[in-house]
Formats: sequence, C-alpha cells, structure tokens
Amino acid sequence: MAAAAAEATTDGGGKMIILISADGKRFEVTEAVASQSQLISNMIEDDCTENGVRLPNVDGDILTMVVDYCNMHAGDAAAAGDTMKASSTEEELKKFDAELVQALENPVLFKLILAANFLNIKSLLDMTCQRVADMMSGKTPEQMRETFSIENDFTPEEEAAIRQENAWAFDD
Amino acid sequence: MASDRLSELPDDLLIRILSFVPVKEAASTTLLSRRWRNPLWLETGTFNVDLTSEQFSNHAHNCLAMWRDEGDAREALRRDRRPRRLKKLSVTVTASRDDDNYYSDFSEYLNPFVFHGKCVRMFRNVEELRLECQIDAPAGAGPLSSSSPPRYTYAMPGPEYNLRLHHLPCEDFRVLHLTGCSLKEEIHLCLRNRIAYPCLTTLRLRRCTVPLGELQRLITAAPALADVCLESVTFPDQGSVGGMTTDKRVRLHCPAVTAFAMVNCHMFCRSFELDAPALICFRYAQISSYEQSISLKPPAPCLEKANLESISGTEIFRSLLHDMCHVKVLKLTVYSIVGDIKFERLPCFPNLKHLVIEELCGFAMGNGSAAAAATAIGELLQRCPVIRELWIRFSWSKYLHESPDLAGYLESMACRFDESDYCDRCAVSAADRGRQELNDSWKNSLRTVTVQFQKGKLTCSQVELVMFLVENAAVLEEFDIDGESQDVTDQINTKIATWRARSSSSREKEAHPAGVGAERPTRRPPPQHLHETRYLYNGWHPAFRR
Repeated sequence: MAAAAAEATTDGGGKMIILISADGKRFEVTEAVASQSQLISNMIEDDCTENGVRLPNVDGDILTMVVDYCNMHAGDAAAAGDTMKASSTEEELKKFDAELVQALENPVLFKLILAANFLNIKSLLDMTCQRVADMMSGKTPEQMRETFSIENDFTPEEEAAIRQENAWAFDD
Repeated sequence: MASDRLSELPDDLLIRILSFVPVKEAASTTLLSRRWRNPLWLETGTFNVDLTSEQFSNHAHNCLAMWRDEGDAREALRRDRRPRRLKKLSVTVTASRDDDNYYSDFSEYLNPFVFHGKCVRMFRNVEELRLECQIDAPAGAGPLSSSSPPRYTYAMPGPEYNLRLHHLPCEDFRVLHLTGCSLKEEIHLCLRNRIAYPCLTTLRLRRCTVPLGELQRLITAAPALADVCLESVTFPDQGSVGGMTTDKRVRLHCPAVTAFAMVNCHMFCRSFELDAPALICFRYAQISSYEQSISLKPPAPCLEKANLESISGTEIFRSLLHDMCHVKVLKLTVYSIVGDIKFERLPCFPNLKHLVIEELCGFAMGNGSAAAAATAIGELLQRCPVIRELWIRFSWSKYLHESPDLAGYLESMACRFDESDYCDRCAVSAADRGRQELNDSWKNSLRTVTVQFQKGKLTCSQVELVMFLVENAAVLEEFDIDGESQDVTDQINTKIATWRARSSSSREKEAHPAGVGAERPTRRPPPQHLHETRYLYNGWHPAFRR
C-alpha cells in the first residue's frame, strides 16, 4: 500500500497520500484533496507523509465523511490549479454540504467537529459549528438542555442569581 | 439519558459555536450548567442580533455594556485574558407593514444602535460587519414566493436604510456585507478623501442602491479588496457625479479583485467595462431584457473560471467570450441550448477543461428537430479541444411549475424509447442530424459526462443528445445520468450501456478493418431484440427504406 502511494499519481498530476484512521482504515487521496487540512498541508511541506499519515484521533467512519467532504471541495481550494476536480459547482457543493450536515445525529456531529478541529479544516469546522449553533438558536436554556442532554447541576438559588445577572438574555 | 457531548467539547470549540448563535441565546447559555457558567459568549468577539424580532433596542446598552466593562485592561490582565474586543457584528432588521400599509423605518431601529456615539466607539475593532435590512414577505403571497423566488424576476428595491459608511470606523473592516442599504455619498470632500479600508478583502452588496462613483471610491480606498459580489444592486442614474458618466459607457476599475460577481444588477448604461487585471473567477448574470454589453477591458490574463447567465442567450456575451477564451472552467446558463448557443459566433477555447451548460426551458422553445440540441452541443465541443468534463443540466422544473400547459406539452414530447424498440419521432429527426467534423480533438479528451434532468421522462431531444455523446466520446470513462425518476434513469442507463458497447466495437473495427466481410458492420441485423433501437439511429430502420 505504501509502495502504491509512492508510485500512484492521478492524471491531474497530484501525488497520492494515504490517511490511516484510528481503527486502521486506509484512505488514498490526492495531495490537493488532503491539503485542505492545514495539519496535513504542513506535513506535506515538511515531507513527512511518505509512509501514510496516521490520525489516531479520528475513527474510520468519521474520516470517511471528512474525505468525502474534501473530495467535493477540492475544486474551490485549488481553483487555480490543474488538479481541480471541477465537477462540483456552487449549487452542488451547497446541496452536498446541507445534506451532509442535516443527516448528522448528535454524537457523530460532535465527533466531526473534533476531527475538523484536529485536522484543521476551517470550512468544515465552520459548517459543523454553524449546525450546532442553528440547533441552539431560538431556544430557551431549558430547551437547549433537552436538545443536547445537558444536565442542570445548579441549585435553584444559583439559577435565580444567574437570571438576575443578565436579565435581558432571559426575557421571553 | 444520552451523554452530553456538547459540554465535553473544549472551550475554544464552544466559543466558535457560540460565535454563530444570536447574542441572546449565546448569553443565556450561562444558565445551562456549571460547565457553562463562565460567560464564554463574551469570548466570541461576535455580536449577532436581530434588532426587530427581539425588541432589542431596550437591551442593546445592557448587552453592549458587557463588552465595555470587560474592555477594561486591568480587569482583563487580572483574569489572565485577552481584552474582549468586538470583532464581528451581524445586525438584522426586518421591517413589516403596519396597519396603514407603510413599512416601518429601518432607521428607527438602526440609528440608535449603529450610530449611537458610544456604540460606534465599541465598533472600532470590528473586522466583519454584516448589516441586513429586509422586509417581511407579504402575507398571502402566491405559491411561487413560498418556495424559492422565481429566478428571473427583478427584485424591485424595497425600502432601504440610508447608510453613510464613512460614519462608521472602517480601518479594521475585513469583510463588509450589506443588504437593503442605500449608500449615500459624502458631500464633504475632505471627509470623503480621508476614508480608507486598508484591510478590506470582501465586499458584498445585496439589494442595495449605490451610485457608481461611490462604489468606485470604496473599491479604490480598499487596496486589498479581492472578492466583490454585487447582487440586485441598483446604480442610480446620476449624470456625471464622481467623474463617472452614465450615458453610454461605464467603467469600474478593480485593481486587486480576483473574484467578481454581478447578478441581476440594474445599470443605466449601454456598455459596462470591467477593468480587473487580477481576475480569476468571474460571474455575471443579467436578467434585464434590454440590450447591454459587458466586457473585460483590458482582458484578464489570469481568468480561470467564468459563469455566465443570460436570458438573451450568449449573444450579449459575444465580446466577453472572446475576451475570456483562455478560461479553464466555463458555465453557461441559457434558456435553450438550441436557440441561445450561437456556436458559429463562439471562439475556440484552447484551455477549457470543464464545461457546464444549464438549460432552463429549452423544451418550450420548440426550435429545431430532436437532433438540434445534440448538433449544437457537438458544434460547441468542437471549439473545446482539451475538454475533460461536461455537465449538462436541464433545470426545467421552475418553468413547469409556472404553467400546467407546459407540463402537458412536455409530456407529449416524451421519447418513447422505453416503450417500444424505437421512437418514430427520433427516426425522423435522425435524418436531420448534421455531422460536420471540424475539430474532433474533444472526442479524445472528454472523460466524464454528467446529464442531470429533473422531473418526468426524457424528451427525444435529450435522448438524442445522450446518444450523440456516448457514440462520439471515444475515451469516456464515466457517464452519469442523474434524474429524479429512477425508472427513467435505469432505462436510459441500459441504453447507454448498449450504445457504448456498440460504438466502441465499431471504432475497433474502424481501427482494424480485419475484413469480416461485412462492408458496413454496424448495420448488420441486431443480434438481440434489445439492440434494435440503435439501428434506428444509423438510419437502418424499415421506416427509412420506404
């Protein structure tokens, strides 16, 4: 597999890189796709991707999503290069993003946020954080607790004090 | 109870999430649990607020006071924190009609907030300002406005907020998004010349009114401005204010801009010249029916991507397409492939790798035979010698929704390739198919084709087009058919497999004419019942011999 990585080049001219998830799954992607992750982009610059990039914090199923996302978005990142996979126009990207994020259940969404943060993929991180923000918008603290299974560990007195402090935020 | 994954996230991620949340909800998270007690929302540096829906004006000062207090440097040091500065401000105001059918005034909400002396001081470090003034959708609107707005109706300027940009601190602006504002010119020259946007990289105006001279001044004052998007912007006719004449020719100089988009803008001039030598991405969509031309002067040598849309076809883009024939990615949106792509006027695109064509209602234009679209695309491809990917998208549904008659008409045009072995309408049109082979390089470079269609069945014209591409692209690796109806998609995919097998075998025979004896191998009787359809397209059909 590592040998394949050394030889394999796409007809776009990009070198291939192997990403290895925590559970040992391997993903072969072009440099252009992988370098949307600032972390991997830095590793490419430092020339330390030869034997595959181990990502001990990221599970295989999450990495699958990340790789899908990066494949879709390789075009806009490398807009100037020949390596672009230009099949995706703006609307397709928007639709793809919306579907990706809408479909996520709570635990997966947070894992994806952590992975995007670890890999340092700003657009994916913003998109997933926006999704959580949308789930909070328009909700009272009680409703937020319910949505995210947050346990209220305040005493009634403490709660009253907090309400007092920022009364404007708790007006209905 | 499921586990609380949200609270497990580290602070910096929670802060990032809160930066997208309206300020009221963000501030109320301190009540969630002890984990949230520390006011993380103050660390976001953002302030997202809808002034109208929350009757926020009563609270604005209380809320902003949080920043003022925390801005105290000693306090910040004691707590070992960076001083909290407001970096991103996003304000929305929604005006609604009152009983007398008058819209409420944006300035009622915005003036005390945006232009209150103390507030302006707070905004000194703001890097990103989004100001959105919108009006309520009128109650009882028709079914059209319930979904997305119709594509080709010009949004008349509604009430706008009179914004004097120079009243705002602007040294730190990096991103500026304004919706529903009318930008006023500063009358005092000394003030006007003092304004500078040294950090501004992104400017987006939607449903705004701005004199061209004012826009030009803004762009000139922003030497780092890379991304400009103008959507439904009206440039009022103002004679020669600011040195810009608006009679015949209008010129906009954007020295550093790499991405420029202009969508549905209203401009009172005959020709518009964009002077953007660093341009890489260009989008232009013009809906008004009157004649207006746009050109890149001087041509942008670095241009890579162009996205052009017009109801009057490619005709108004003629000079534009010549200016940008070196692009690598081109998207054309037209009413009708047959009617609007005037191939004989198009230049050659020597670098074009990726071509997207979107057709909005070709079926309703009724021009040409069923083979006309295939011919038009063929002519276009001959001008793209190194093309690798082709997308053809039929986006008819919007027009179908508008008229039930159209739906019936489309139904009547459905190709019957699925019901019988051949469709007689296709058979007739096959005779008209022009086969001028000017430059066939595309046949050996095109790798991927995607055809997307929406509802219902394929028309003869679409089937012809698909077949033309399958038969002629010799090195095709992928042919995607993407339709809403799985049945139709499956049927056409079966056909595609047949056509591909046939055309590749016929190509092989051309390459190695190892005398099988048959002088016209492709016209041998079909070995299988299914394969009969293809012979029709070669003109070998009983109906043809008569």
